[in-house]
Amino acid sequence: MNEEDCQELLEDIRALASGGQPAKDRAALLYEHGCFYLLSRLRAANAYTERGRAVILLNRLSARERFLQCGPLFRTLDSEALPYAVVKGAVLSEAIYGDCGYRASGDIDLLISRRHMDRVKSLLLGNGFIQGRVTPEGIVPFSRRELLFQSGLSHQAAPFVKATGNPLCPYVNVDINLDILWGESERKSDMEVVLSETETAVLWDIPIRKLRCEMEGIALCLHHYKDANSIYLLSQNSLRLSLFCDICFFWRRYAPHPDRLKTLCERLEVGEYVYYCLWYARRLFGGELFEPSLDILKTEKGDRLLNLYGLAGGERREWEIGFEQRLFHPDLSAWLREGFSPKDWEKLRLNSALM
Amino acid sequence: MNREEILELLAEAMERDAAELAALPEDQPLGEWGLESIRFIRFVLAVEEKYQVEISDSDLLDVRFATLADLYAIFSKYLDPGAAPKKVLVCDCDNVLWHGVAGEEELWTNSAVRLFQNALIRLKDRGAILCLCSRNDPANIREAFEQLSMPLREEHVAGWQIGWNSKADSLKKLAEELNLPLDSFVFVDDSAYEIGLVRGLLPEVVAVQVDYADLSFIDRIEGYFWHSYPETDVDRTRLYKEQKEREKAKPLFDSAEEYNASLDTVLTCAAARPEETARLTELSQRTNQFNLSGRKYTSEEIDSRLSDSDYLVLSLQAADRYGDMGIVGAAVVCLEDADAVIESFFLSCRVFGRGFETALLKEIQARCADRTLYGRFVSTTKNGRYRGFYPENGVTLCE
Repeated sequence: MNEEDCQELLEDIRALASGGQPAKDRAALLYEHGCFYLLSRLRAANAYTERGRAVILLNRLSARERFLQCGPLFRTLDSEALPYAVVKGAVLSEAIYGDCGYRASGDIDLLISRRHMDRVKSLLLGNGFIQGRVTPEGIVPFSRRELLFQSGLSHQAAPFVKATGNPLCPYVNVDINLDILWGESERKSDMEVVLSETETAVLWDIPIRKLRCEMEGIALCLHHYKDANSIYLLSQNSLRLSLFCDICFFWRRYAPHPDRLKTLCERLEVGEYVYYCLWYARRLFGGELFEPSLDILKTEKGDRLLNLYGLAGGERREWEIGFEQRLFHPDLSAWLREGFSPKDWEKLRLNSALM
Repeated sequence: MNREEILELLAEAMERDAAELAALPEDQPLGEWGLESIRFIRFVLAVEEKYQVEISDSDLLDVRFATLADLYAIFSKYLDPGAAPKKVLVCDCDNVLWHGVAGEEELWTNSAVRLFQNALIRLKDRGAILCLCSRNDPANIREAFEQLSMPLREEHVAGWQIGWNSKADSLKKLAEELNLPLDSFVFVDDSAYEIGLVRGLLPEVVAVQVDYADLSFIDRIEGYFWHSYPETDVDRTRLYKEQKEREKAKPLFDSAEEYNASLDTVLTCAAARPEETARLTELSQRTNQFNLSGRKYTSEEIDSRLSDSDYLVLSLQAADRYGDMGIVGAAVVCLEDADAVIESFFLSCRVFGRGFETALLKEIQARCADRTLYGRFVSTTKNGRYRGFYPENGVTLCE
């Protein structure tokens, strides 16, 4: 994509995000980038907008089924005063766009503290969930060996699955998250701090706990930073416009308070990652709304990260192409793989085996 | 702790010689010796298969099994479930609770320090006794607590040994004050010298070195306090502070009776109530020295005895002018026709030397006056000094 095409594309995206219409048909690109909210705002209908509408509808129906299935679990977590938050997926979509269908999601993500892991696991098993894989014959429980491999290698519990009997969403997956930072991180978040920042929300008449505005903004940025920087995920084409669209509309809707944002970022030591995400969201969508947060989070370390990728210090490297070039690259995965070292391939194989 | 068994299984998983591993310092990173994820999982599987246990997710997830000390901390509880958990956590202050040396330079905290302090508060809330031990001027340490904005506050701390004594002497003093054995202590310091000294002079104390570049030490410390006690409203820190005040007056009296009277001590011995289950369970779990049968009960076991007419469960509450000590003793008596067997008898170490055990036994004897009374004694590594309690008080020993 040459610079002129790139500028036209950015102008179209900004127009669409501001309630206007693009000069060119952008439906295919928005569909490919999982930007279902912007796709839904296109007035001209075509095959991509129709497919987008179907995805949004299915997302809504699936999310409803998942939350209905998990209702008893949420009630027990509340009654036992176990701190938790439902993160990502439908809850985040509802928070950002006011509709749970605009973000594709395959599971319910529960954020808990490691010290409550055993209790939450027993509640999930008591609610009919199984740690296993879905096969054409149904759910096959993982062997103890498989469970240990999942826990020991990924530092994440194997997912919990339950059959629903609903053909639109035949299985509900619950993923347990023990941190808002990524697995490769040397540091761990202080989950007491993270989970002290929750509030009640109601979805389909089911009360749940979710993160409060500033903490939810931080968790959103950390999650998307990982997608935009993990070598493994980048090789799966995880760098997409939807990442920055989510951030843009979250900031537009909630305008997180800069001082509170800074305080929480400092307590969790994640300011540079949030800065990264906001910096590129501003670059794509423009606007003044990011300025207060960017001003307060700006550091040398944050600026240094802007043109690097890789999550852990040792694997970080510099991009050889500009931001828009990589974001709208027709096959970034293939481009990246050309430069992979044997160590990168090893990591890729291990991650693929685990996922 | 089954260190030998852990080492053997680990050596097998790592394809190493067990003696070679045993020679490693406990805080040596095992990664340097070839322990990576696959071998670690092989090791966990071997432990589970050999001992028919299941390592819980909370122990496996997000824990870096970096050193032998980590492995001992996590796995010993599965291999030796009867082992006493640690009770006292003694922390150095400078470069542990904050960065910098109090009185010497500007002090500061960051998220890693706060993460550690929150873990300390959690452990304290779960029943650990938190103490401080620092080679500094007490005024400097107090001032640091006053000036720094941090989660840990003075009221969280039950005992202080701040001064210029050696750390080993300070730990011994704390053990005397708390009336707890040194093998229930975990000592935390940033200095390799102090850690080495304590390990050398007090091998029964577990010493953990703080390294803020690798926060796995927090997991390791939490691993030592693995017992999940039932929720009770016992504020152990307050109780130990009150105890300290009582102990100051003790040398002035010739007998326990005189001492108790001077403190306006009131003892209440009564049939235990269902709402006391959590505290009775906790007492049984925590008591090692004056636990005459070595028995530790679950809350379900206590509940079942409370509702069974063939059992008599008594609780002993104490209060004096320093405060309400709550339930400090208990006994479970099994009634069988003309006989009664004291199945278990516990007394909190906080009230040793005050004769409370005699009051509880007298109550049992009064309630079982029409039966022949037996006392079950099972020798453990900790309760030897109380072997004579039943015979000395007219109760037939049942070993």
